[in-house]
Amino acid sequence: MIPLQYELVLSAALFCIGLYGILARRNAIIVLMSIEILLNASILNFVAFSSYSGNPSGQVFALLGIAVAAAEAAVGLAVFLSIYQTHGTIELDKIRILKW
Amino acid sequence: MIANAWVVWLILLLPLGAFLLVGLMGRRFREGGGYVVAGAMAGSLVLSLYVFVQVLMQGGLGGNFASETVTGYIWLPSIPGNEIRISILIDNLSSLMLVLVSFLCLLIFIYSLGYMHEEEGKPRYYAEVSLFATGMLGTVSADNFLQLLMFWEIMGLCSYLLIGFWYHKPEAAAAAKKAFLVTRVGDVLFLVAVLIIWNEFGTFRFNEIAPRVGLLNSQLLTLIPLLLFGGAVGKSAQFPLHTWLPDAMEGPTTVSALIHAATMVKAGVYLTARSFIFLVPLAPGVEPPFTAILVIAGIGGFTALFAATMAVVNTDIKRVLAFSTISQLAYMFLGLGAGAFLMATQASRGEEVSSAGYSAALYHLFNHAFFKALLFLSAGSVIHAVNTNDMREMGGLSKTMPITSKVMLFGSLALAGIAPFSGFFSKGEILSVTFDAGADHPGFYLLYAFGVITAFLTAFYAFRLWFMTFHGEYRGHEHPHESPRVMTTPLLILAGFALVSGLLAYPMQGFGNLVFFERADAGFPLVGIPGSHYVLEAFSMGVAVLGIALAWSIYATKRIPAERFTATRGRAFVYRMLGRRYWIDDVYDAFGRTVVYGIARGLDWFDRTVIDGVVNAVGRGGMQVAVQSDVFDRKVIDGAVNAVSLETVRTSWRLRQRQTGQVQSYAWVIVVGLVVLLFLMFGQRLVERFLGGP
Repeated sequence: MIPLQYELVLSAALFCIGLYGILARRNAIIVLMSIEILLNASILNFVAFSSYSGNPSGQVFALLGIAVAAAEAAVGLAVFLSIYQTHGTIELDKIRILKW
Repeated sequence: MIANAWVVWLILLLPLGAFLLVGLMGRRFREGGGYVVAGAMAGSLVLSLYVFVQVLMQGGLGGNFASETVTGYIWLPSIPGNEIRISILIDNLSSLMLVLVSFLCLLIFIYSLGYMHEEEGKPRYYAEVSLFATGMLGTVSADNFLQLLMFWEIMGLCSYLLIGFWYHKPEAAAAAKKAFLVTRVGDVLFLVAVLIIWNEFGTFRFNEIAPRVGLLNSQLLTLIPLLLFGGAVGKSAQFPLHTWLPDAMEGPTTVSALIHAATMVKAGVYLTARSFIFLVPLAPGVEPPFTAILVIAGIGGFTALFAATMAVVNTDIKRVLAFSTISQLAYMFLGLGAGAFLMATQASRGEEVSSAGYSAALYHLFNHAFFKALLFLSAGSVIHAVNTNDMREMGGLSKTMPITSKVMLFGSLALAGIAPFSGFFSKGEILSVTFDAGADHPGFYLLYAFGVITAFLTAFYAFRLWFMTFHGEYRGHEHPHESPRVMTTPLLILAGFALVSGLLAYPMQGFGNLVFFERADAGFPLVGIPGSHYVLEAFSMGVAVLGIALAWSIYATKRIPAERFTATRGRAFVYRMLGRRYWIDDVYDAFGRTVVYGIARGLDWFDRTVIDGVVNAVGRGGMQVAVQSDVFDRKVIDGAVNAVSLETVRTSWRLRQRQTGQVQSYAWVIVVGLVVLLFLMFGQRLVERFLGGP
């Protein structure tokens, strides 16, 4: 059995990669992909603790998280498509109408 | 007891009512209310006679004293029994004065109907003369000093108004002011005397003061009559306050007659007669105030001569008469002073006293009132005819004005003191009393000499006036004519009185009975009946005849040329000095111009620089405070408010900059915030885990 720490470290590494992608990349698609990585890092955490404690509710949360990630990807891609139609770009630092 | 004593109120109220009626609606009456005023005065005369006859029956004829107070309403409430009331005193003196004043006022009012016929402003004239008469009637009937002062001041006001009747003439306006201001000097002294009297006695009433005069200390006993005399000096135009009377001739001649004969100047004599309660204290063992008595007699004797000399050179017919009034009033004061001196000496020796001087002075007042009214109204008749006051433009008027010239001759004879005209009896009596007083104080011989010289000068200037006016050829350019009947009738009546008022003393067994100064130790005065003194009486009349003879030879026959009296430089100087009235008016004017105006200018300067300076400085200081406060308000208060708002705006601007619209920067904030939160939640545990806690 793989020790819990390994899984948590992997999860934390994935979270950090996702976070970096969200904060640093300009392309909206990559940011969306980074959010997927972030979600998967948390799902991995749920699964790891579920198997470690023998409590199956974590696996239920994992399934729920995958569903949320799928919905989020669909909504996010639709938003980006719409932004591209109005702004001609999906570079996040060019999109700054959401301000004062 | 006097029956129906309440009618004395009507004596005052009738002319007062006429004043109000004519003053308010005089234009509705004929002659501007002249008939109303004369009618009211006729009513006063009838009532005065009614009272006077009763007083005569009760006291006067038997050498007794009748005195009754008609108590009026309470004017100033005070301690019960000591209220100040408006009351009327009826005694021998006041009842006689009431008759005299109302009779002369009536004649003058009737005369005015003719004299003032063509004047503008008749309602004003008649209202004022009626108030004037009210003032005099009130003055002589007051039973206390305060009431006397009030009516006295009413007269002062009316004299101002009437002398300035032609107020558009600058000389008349100036004369009115002069009369008012000069008499005011005396009035202030009188007021002070009244205040001292209240302070000392707690009452103003003659009858309550008289028995308590002995309580005064000797300084006050001297001071009070002197202050009262000061008031009399102002009102009766005695030296040194005589300057207003000659100028008062600027008023209508009827007003001059009113002032000189019946009212105003006689009030001073009346007041001095009333102050006999101080001069000759009733209380035994009280030393009479001889200083005050001598001052009164001295001023009287001096002014008599002083005024007569000025009358000698004047060419204004009314001014000559004005100077003669001053001189004759001075005789009265001389008589009062000498009489008081005699009475006081006799009383202090315990002898029987004689009120001869007192009675003689009032007798002269009585006679003078008639002949001076006559002289003034005759002069008015002349002026009416020739339209000038200057005697050099008259002459020969006896042909065109036969009645006026004859009645004026009567008046002049009375003034000169030629028997049997009235002036002879009273003037001779005054001189005799003065001579008698000389036995105890030699100064009275000097005053007697003054009086005799004055008698000479009086006869001289009276006939100089008459000859210049009526004798010779007419020197003017008018067409003189006799005055209408309404003017000559009063003249004829007055001429009759100028002849007989002196003889009236005979049926009365001496005038002293009429005015009688009440004293238990008084003898029976035979005033007005020459007898004991006929050498003196004959002497003074002889002197008067000499005066007339001199006037005759200078102005009628011209045997002595008038130029001789200005021939040498010394004589010319005297002539100029008399013409300029001893420069006293000039000195007063200069005093007024330099000292009074100087003080006024100094005070004006003080007011403008110091007082105004302080006020302006305070104003400027206030302004500075306001400016500073404004600056503070703008800079500090507004600055604070603005700074707060500006800083709010700036802060909001800066905060707004944080809202970049960049999703990733928001994400940064969220992440950093999350990390901070986590650290806050778990930080302590982490630190303890890795660094080893306590």
